[in-house]
Amino acid sequence: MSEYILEVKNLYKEYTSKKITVKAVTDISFSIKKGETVGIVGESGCGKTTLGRCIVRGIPATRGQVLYTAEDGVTYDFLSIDKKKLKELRKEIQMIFQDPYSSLDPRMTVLDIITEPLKANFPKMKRSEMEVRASEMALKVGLNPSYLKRYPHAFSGGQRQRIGIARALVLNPRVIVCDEPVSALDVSIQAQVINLLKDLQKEFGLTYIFISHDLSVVEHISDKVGVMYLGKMVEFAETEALFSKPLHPYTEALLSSVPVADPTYKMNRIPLRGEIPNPANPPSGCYFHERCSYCIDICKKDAPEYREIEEGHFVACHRAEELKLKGFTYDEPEAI
Amino acid sequence: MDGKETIVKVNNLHINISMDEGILTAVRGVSFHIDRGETLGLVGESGCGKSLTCKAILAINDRKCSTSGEILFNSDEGEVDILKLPPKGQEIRNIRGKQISMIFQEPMVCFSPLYTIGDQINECTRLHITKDKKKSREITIDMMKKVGIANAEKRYDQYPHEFSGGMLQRALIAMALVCRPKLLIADEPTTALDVTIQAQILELIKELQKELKMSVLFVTHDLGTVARMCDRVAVMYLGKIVETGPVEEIYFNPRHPYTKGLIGSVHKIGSKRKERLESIEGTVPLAMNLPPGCGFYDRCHCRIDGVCNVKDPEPVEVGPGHIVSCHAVERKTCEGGANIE
Repeated sequence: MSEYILEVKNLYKEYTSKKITVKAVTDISFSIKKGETVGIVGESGCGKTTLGRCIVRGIPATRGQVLYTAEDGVTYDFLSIDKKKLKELRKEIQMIFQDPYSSLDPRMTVLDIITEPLKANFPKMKRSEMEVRASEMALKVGLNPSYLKRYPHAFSGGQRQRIGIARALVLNPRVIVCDEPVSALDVSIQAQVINLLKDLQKEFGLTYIFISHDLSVVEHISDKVGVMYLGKMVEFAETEALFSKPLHPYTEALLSSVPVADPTYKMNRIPLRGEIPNPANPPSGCYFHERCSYCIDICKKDAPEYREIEEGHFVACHRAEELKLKGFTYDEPEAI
Repeated sequence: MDGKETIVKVNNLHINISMDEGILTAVRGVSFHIDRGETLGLVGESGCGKSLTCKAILAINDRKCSTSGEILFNSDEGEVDILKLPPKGQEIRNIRGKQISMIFQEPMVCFSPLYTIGDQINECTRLHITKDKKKSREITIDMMKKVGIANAEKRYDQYPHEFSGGMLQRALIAMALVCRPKLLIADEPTTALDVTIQAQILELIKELQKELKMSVLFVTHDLGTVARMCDRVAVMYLGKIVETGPVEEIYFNPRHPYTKGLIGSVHKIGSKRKERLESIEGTVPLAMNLPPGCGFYDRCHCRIDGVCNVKDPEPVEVGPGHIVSCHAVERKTCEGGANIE
């Protein structure tokens, strides 16, 4: 039996129109153990969401594998199983979406929204049974079950996100892909939803892939973090290792720009030159070389290999071994 | 002129919006002031009235909004009450865009796709500085360079779709600053941007502020950016300012239960990992037919029944420049950390 619940192997997603091919996701590999949370960070347009959607097979990947080990210990390639098997396994990998305002159908009651996955997967289930399940779920995510007859417009952003979470949970999944689940919410509500996700993880032994651009949220919730740049995974490591000892210059730059909610914190920002290149026309060699301050000749010619440098610490940079990059340092002042 | 020249002073600002369902009391008695060269952060959750307050200063609120109170602006022509000026009159037009300008939240929707970036920035230059075409173009390009737009001469003739989000935000800042305003209102200027670009833009605003000796009203819900940018902070909740003070005081010695919850709900990278984040229970109520008393009553863990739900708390000074509106703080019954859910 595989050690991992989910292994993503050499995943590619390309979009082709008449003349242009955009490589949205290029050769991504990583693996997750059961009960872990893997955070995926990167700037907008780097392919985080595409990666998440490919993993749940919401959109077809161009090539690659997503090896999923089911409860009975059998490993399937989630991307190539047939329809029948997919229907069976899809219950186990669910998704929570970014925008709680557009991911709920305004013409369905909350009850319908939460029970829809049940209707699709258990057509023989009785209506009354579904309602019981739905109100159980509502309680679990902190919604008052008496609100189930209402429509989404009657709920605030945080409550809507709870509805989205209940919808993902109602099928008892084992893996949940959370695509920016809190970025549309206010700070105090973000904390509520993050706490909720953590509680549910403990209770049901869930495995999360947590996609976000907010590094502080990712640091709080993840056991491992992957950093994406222009469709590629540039670094993947345990959260602490990645934040304290980054091995990729992009990670270093990203960490140096994080705003910290402390007026005495002095930021030593490492400026990035230029802008994110167009993914339809990526630079030669290392995609990051034009903006990297450690760039040498080889970076312009050859794409660096994505390799394991220390145990569990993967990086794609020619100079990863020699560079001494700065991690994120912050000493918490004593509370007054 | 001494060091503490007040640029704008808002007194008891009320904004009501009439809707089909009734009257929404969006801003309920907001008062603050900003000195020259100072940055005031206005923090609060969505719907608390931050943006309406900003727009009131420029007198660009919707006709549905009825505004009362005073907004005293120290203009080039002496002190004026912006609310008393006719909103389409010449006087406010001389102020708007020239002496007070605003950076809006989403750069992508602020530009018209039909005109070049240069034309749109130039509109401001030509209206307020010079009618001379060549000269105004020069001034505009100068400002575009200053905000870090490379190739400004070429970029001047490009359309918004040719700009990335970060570049458009720079163009928007150039537009706001081209007339060298006394007061800049920045309404969530970096919320739509990525962290690396966000850091660049914030540095840019800070540099230009120093150079032009501007005052800045910085509106955001991101406590990380407030910590970097602001001298003083005003925390808004449900149309009221519940706490104001110097930035260090607000971060390290917050007094109002809402501020405490807000500060506690942010995870700071590198700090000891907490199992759970502190959070404020419940959600912000809709500002319609509000019951008497403190707006935070329902969500507050320090509430005193029979007091907080009866009478609105008055602002009390608890330290130099640190003002809190809370019955429980006044009676010293709300000490210690925030409530943990």
